[in-house]
Amino acid sequence: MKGTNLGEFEELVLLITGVLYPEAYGAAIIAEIEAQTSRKPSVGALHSALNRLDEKGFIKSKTGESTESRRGRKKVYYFLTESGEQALVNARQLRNNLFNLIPNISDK
Amino acid sequence: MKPDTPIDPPRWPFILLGSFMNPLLLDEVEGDLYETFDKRVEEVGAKKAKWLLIRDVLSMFRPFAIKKITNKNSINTLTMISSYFKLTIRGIKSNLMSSLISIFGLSIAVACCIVLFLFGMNIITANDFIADADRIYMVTSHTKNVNNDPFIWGKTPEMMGTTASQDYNGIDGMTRVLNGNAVVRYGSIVLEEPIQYVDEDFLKIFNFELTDGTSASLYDGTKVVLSAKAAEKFFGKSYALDEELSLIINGETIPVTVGAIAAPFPTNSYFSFNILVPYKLASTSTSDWDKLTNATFFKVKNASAIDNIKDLSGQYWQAYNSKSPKYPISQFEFIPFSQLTKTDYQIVGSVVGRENPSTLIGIIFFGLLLIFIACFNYVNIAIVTATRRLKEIGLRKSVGASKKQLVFQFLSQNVFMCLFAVIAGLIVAHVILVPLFNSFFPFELSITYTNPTLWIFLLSIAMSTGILSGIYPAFYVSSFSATNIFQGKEKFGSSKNYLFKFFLGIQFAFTFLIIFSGISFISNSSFQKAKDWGYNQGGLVVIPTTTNDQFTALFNRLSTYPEISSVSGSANHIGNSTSVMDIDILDEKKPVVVYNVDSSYLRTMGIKLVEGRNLNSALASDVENGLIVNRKFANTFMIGDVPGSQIKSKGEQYNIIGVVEDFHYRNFYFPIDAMAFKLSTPEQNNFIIAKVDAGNLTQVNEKIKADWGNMFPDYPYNGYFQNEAFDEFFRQMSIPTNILITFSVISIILSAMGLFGLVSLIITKRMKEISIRKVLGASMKEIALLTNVPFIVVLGIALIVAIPTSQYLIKLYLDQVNAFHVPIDFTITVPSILILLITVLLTISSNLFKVSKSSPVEALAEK
Repeated sequence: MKGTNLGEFEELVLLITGVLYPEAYGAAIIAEIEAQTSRKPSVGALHSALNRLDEKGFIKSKTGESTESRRGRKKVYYFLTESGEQALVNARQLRNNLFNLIPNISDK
Repeated sequence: MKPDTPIDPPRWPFILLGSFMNPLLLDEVEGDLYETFDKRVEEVGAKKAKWLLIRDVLSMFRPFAIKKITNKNSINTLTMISSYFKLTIRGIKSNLMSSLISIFGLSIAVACCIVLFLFGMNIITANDFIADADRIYMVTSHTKNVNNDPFIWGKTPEMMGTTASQDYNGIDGMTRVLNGNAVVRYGSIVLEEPIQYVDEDFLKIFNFELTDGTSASLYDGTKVVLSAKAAEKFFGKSYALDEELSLIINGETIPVTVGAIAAPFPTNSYFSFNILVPYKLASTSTSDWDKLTNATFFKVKNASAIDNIKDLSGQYWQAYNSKSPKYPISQFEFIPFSQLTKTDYQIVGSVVGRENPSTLIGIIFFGLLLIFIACFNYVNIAIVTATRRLKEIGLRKSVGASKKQLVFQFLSQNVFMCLFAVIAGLIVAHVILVPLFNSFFPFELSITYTNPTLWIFLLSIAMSTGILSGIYPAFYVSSFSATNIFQGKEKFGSSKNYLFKFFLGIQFAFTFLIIFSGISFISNSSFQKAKDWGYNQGGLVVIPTTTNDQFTALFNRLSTYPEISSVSGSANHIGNSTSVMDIDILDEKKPVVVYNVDSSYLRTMGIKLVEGRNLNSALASDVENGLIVNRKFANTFMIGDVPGSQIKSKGEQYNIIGVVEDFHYRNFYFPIDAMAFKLSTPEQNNFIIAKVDAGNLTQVNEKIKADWGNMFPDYPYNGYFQNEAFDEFFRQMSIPTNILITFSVISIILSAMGLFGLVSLIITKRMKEISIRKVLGASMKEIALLTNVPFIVVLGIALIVAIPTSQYLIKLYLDQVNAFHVPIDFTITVPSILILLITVLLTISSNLFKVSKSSPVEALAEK
């Protein structure tokens, strides 16, 4: 298994995967990222992130049904694993801790 | 909302995706792409969605998503490749003749490639032995000539170097280079040698390798540094360090010692020296801003230091311009030494010198042509050979070989063939081609087998020629259908024959171009050698002298020679030195070449006076402002009666008293421009021109040399014959000519061999047909006609295209380089056509001879 660090984009993908549960598959994740943030990730970037998350053991996948819009190609759904969830919690924890350490952020 | 009729995305991105994507992921990603595409069509429109789709497909090009090259079949692959290798060897054996021709042709092409590669490497690595080349800067001056055309000049004010190195920190070293000549004497050896005046830091800046002595010796001020070549001239093989030499500079004798000797310069050196002499021997001036030096180099600690100098360099050129020099400077440009080799040919009078790269481009162009010819040769033979393997292909297809596998098989066999050719080519290059090229050029190429770039290059040649030349035959034959092959429907000579004829035609056309250029160059060089210079070059001995005393003494001595009919003196001399005068034409200044000569010069040189009279040194007005101009001058600048008219230059009035016929005062690269003769004062004269009428010219020269040795033992004798004055021009011309002749011969051989292979293959295929014709009573003549006609037709069409193209290209090239060249007409075209035609006919006939000897029974008895 590779390192368990969570990159910024990986974290975003991981969060969206959680949000969309149990309907998180490639095109849906992209649409959600586009809707939630103003960025337009490429399909390559997304699958690369999914691939890394899979290698790190944060997500697992399951082949699903196909639709007309996919021209008959099957969907692959992604789910958070336990360690995936833990990674999100850790990341949040770290942010909160650091955030609280900032003495006075609105001060000029 | 889904539209009723969804817009279909373009198909090609998906084909592309499928070509590289890991199949495990492919399905899912394709689905995502389709779905996202549909959504984007709704949101941003079809056009934008298409672009985003293409971006997405390209974005999948990542390591994790690319098809894995599985090692599963590695043992099989190895077996397969080794079996292909075996097949290649068998193929070569079974078609020995045509295979050897292919390999030999390709190997010659490869050998040419190797030479081109060495050439290129020599240029790319030029001067790379100089360390820290990016911290060494050469100063160049931006200036304009009298016609207001800007040019970059290698010369800089001499004072700039010394002043700048005092004015700035951050300069590690500064050296100027001033070219000069000195008489160098060691014992009884007296030679006039080019010398380079340099500052102390020269060897600190440029890390030339020294065999003896140290780079610090220039700091001494009385020590000089010799190049290996110069050291050998004076000392031979013996030890030269600390030996004493005397330099005679401007008549003054200066004793110096040898402080160091440089190792022979590397072959890629375009910056070198002969004898380094301390700069202060040339000048110790501290105020003459208008004195120029040939080059100024700075070595700086970092790039920002040079910016500092650049910002403030204005004061230097202003100081120089305030002396109102001939070429005012508008700007200094600081060029890193590492960049210099790429641009130095644009710098007028650069000490880091190479010629204009046009010769080189020409060589590369013709080298590539040769490679093309060899490849087309190979393609043709490969097509014909491949069609003989139709049954094999049919069988392979029947047992399940896919088209892809067949193409791979053909290509890999081709690459094997090319590997053999590369090995053979390396031998050809080492044994023949490299020594041949070295004999043409003033520098040495050598194959360094330890250079990894060479091996990478060779391997890529094998791969690329193998694939390029094999790709067409491979696809051609592998597209046949197995059933057609076995039914005998698929035969060589179907409609695709046109393509084969097209290749053959291109090969003919290229060969013609090379033959044509070879013949043009040969006839151009003989044309120029035979061309009338417009004056009498024969029987003239020219002796340059260094001092006026020498001049007078020798002049008087030569006047007593019975063999010499006339002796003249001059300050300038045709083919050796000129001066320039700016004349005022309306409001413009026109530079005109002027020769300062005595009144007998025209007669001695045999220059024809057509109007007016000769210069007369007895007339004060002639001495003051008399001019003789050439016809071109008269036609360009004057109207009406020329003798008696006047022109102005720098406020002074000149009388034109005569006009001479145009003659070539420069070599044939240059047109004849307006020029003039002016009377020189006796003190200015330093050339003696003697016209030898009686006796042997060489003997007379030896006699003068002996007299010189008695009169001036300290000075070398530099006399030469006027008809040798332009030898350098002819020597330079002979380089491209020799190369082209070599290329022509090689390409004729290549084409002939290719054609021979081709014809013999085709005739073998048609052997049955020919045999039946023979049996039915066809004469040899009819058979010859039958087999020759298709080739002659192709040759004819190729010539129709190639003749005007070649004429145009060669004329373009000769016009670019020469002001006077041989006319490109039928005298060149006809021999070129004949050579090609004879080669083709001979090749075909030699095959027919074989046919005529064969018995038809044998051919027909075969299954």
